[in-house]
Amino acid sequence: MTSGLDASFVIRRSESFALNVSLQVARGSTHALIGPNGAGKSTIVEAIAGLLAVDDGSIGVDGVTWDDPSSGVYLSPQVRSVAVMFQDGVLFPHLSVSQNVAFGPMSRGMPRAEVRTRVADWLRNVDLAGFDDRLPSELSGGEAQRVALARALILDPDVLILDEPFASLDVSSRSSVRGLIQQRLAMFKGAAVVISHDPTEALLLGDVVHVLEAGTIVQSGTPSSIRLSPATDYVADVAGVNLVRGFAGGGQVAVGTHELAIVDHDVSGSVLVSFHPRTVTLHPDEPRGSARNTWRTTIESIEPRGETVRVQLGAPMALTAEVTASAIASLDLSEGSAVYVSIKATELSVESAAISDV
Amino acid sequence: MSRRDPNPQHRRVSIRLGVLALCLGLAASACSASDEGAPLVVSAASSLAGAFEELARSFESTSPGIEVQLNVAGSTRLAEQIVEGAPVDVFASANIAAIDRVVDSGDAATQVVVFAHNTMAIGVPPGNPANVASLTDFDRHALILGACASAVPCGSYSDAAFSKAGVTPVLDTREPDAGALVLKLGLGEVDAGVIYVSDVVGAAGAIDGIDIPPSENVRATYPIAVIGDSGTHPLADAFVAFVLSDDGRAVLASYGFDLP
Amino acid sequence: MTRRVPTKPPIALVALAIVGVLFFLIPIVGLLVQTEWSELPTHLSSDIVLDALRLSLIASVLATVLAAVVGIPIAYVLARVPFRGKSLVRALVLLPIVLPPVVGGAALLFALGRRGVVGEPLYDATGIVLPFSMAGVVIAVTFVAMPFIVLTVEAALRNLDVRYEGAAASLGAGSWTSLRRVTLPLIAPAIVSGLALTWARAFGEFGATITFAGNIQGRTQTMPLAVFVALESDRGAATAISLVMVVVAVLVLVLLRDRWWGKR
Repeated sequence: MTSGLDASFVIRRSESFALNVSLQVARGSTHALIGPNGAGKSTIVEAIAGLLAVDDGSIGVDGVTWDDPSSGVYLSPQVRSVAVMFQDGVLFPHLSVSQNVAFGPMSRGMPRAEVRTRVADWLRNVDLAGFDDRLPSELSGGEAQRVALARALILDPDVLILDEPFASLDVSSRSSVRGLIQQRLAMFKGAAVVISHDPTEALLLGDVVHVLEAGTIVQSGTPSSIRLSPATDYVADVAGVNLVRGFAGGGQVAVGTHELAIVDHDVSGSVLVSFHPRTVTLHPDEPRGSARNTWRTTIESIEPRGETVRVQLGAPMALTAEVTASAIASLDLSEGSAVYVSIKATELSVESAAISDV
Repeated sequence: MSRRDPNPQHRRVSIRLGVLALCLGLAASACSASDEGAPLVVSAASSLAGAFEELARSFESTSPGIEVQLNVAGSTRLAEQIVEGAPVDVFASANIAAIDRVVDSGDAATQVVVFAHNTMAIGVPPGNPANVASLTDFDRHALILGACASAVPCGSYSDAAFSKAGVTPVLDTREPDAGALVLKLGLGEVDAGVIYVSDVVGAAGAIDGIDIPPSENVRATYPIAVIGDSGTHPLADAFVAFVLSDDGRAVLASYGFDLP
Repeated sequence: MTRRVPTKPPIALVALAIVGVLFFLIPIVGLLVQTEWSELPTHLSSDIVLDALRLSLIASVLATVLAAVVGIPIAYVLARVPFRGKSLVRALVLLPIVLPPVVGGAALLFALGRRGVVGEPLYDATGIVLPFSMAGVVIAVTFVAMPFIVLTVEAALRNLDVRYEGAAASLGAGSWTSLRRVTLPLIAPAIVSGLALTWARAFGEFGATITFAGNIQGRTQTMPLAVFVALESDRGAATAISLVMVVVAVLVLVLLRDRWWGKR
């Protein structure tokens, strides 16, 4: 493909570890990369940014080659139109917020007056107007990440890489930064790649999700397809969780027209509710038990995975359940069957979300 | 020992430290005068280093069980160490002034005896590449010329020789002792330097020597004395006697010293 | 603002530290006690002292500048550029710290003297003689003092998070811009302390100077050399010069405030 990022390469980091990935990210879209630590995520960041050369394959953007050992092409990081938002910011500690944001354009020779206007615009875009003279040491984690985002986007790059953007944030700042990033990603015209070890962010931000394990991409797809047909245990357990957005209040979360009962009676406002497919039980008839969340729904599809089966369920709230193959057989369930689902309130994890998450 | 010095300026921090170092160095015998079994401490001027090293070893071999410890430095400094209380048994100086210092402070146990003489010479690198002939060459700017620092006997003798010869020297270096000057002459880094005749002999071919005629030369006088209180010092006396003996004189002569 | 109570340091450690400080303090006290204060003005205004002070200040400052200009690039290469035989090169650069200064001076003589490996061709071609001159003093003190700036800057560069330079590069900064705007400012405290140590070493240098540069008042006799010579004959002058050296050194080192030695 000629528009967007095309990165298909191999990097041998050591005798035993080789990174072998293929990513095609169209302009205007965001791809998320999830993987456990050590899977090779930071290597991918360095390769695309130009801080590391690939051993085989190539990296190119909009048809222009950035790195191709076979033809001897290697563009240095300074020349590539790529910007990285690093985990915990990596803001220059001796420069002020505005100096940090101005660093990229100044280094690339933009006239001072123009830089000043752009910096002011971008500080406003990340809700940090007036923070110009603060030093990074005076910023909170969330504020530092906002500066990092502004510093990256001010360059209007062809490729934007977000490297574990939330890893250093606490839960409360995470949602507001996430909201900002979602907003900016929606407006971003280049190709964006989000790297994370936390599936929530990847599933929320990515149009396409790639799961990286031990140097290879084991599965790529939309969040729901990954949830439905996880290729490996890691995907099933980490990437293939249920994630729904709703509005909480008084121990209830409204998800569209559906209501979920949760444990926390204090949380209110926009929330993200996540739960593992394994925690969903299926019943042929309405069950009478302690589980607070029980309702009738229809099976949309069934995906076998050896001894377990993933079941996609539809209205009133789409979700994925994981049950044993023998259970499906003994309950005589198939696509189109009506079935009752049951989830205990204690199995639902609730996290505050920004408005834009919902 | 704490004799009031007429010149109040003479407080000696560094000399005290030197004394401390000397005491520590002689740990075996602590700070006491020599007696049977304890080493004999001899302070000798820098120019006597080679000769006295040999004299010390010879003395040791004739008197079994005796150890001679040699302390070599500039004469002025050695004198100050003694005045400050250093546990020295014998002092061989390169000039009268230094030993007078010791006598004046009451630290000399015996009479002072002159045991050797030295005269000055011009040292040059082998082959005399700069064609130096006499002290008058020491006003040639183009040459690299050296002498000992005025504060040490070698230097003060050199200054006296220059003024006797009516020369105002243009020196590029004033070394703390003749040995450093000999080293640089040997390397060819210095074209000519005023040193002792004994240094030329001691260099054994590493440098060449040019004579300074008696009309321009000065005579260095080397006195020796036993150091200590008014009691007897048999070992120290024996050493001084050895230096003055025919054997001792032969050693000194072999190192280029003139004998009285 | 409430202050957190700091954890008490082990008493033995503090006791040892106090002994250590006394070890540094007592010689200075001794020097002060021995000084003939009434004679001081005479000595301080004498030619010997003024010439020596002038030479020492000029030489030590020039040496520090030279050491920085050459030493910081060496530190950068050692810290950032991979090449074979690096530990050998580092050992070579740090050699002047290990060698007795007189040996260093002799080595300089063998290399840069009129009959030296490099000095002889230089002399034959240009007539320039490096030893026994002011230039010789600067060379000698630079030689012994440069390892200090190399050590401190290399350590600081190694401890610097490489991500800063990576971020600068990905934002578009070329190597010089990155060095100028990111790396050097971030290791500034280390550079300051390195320069202070370098200057101090250069100011106090004796052995290499007297061996390579000679000892002529007004031309090559720096403060340490003047003290050495004065000790032979004029004790009052010796203590006066020593006192001046202590005062100058303390002034310079105290002026480098505590916060400049460490992180901002």
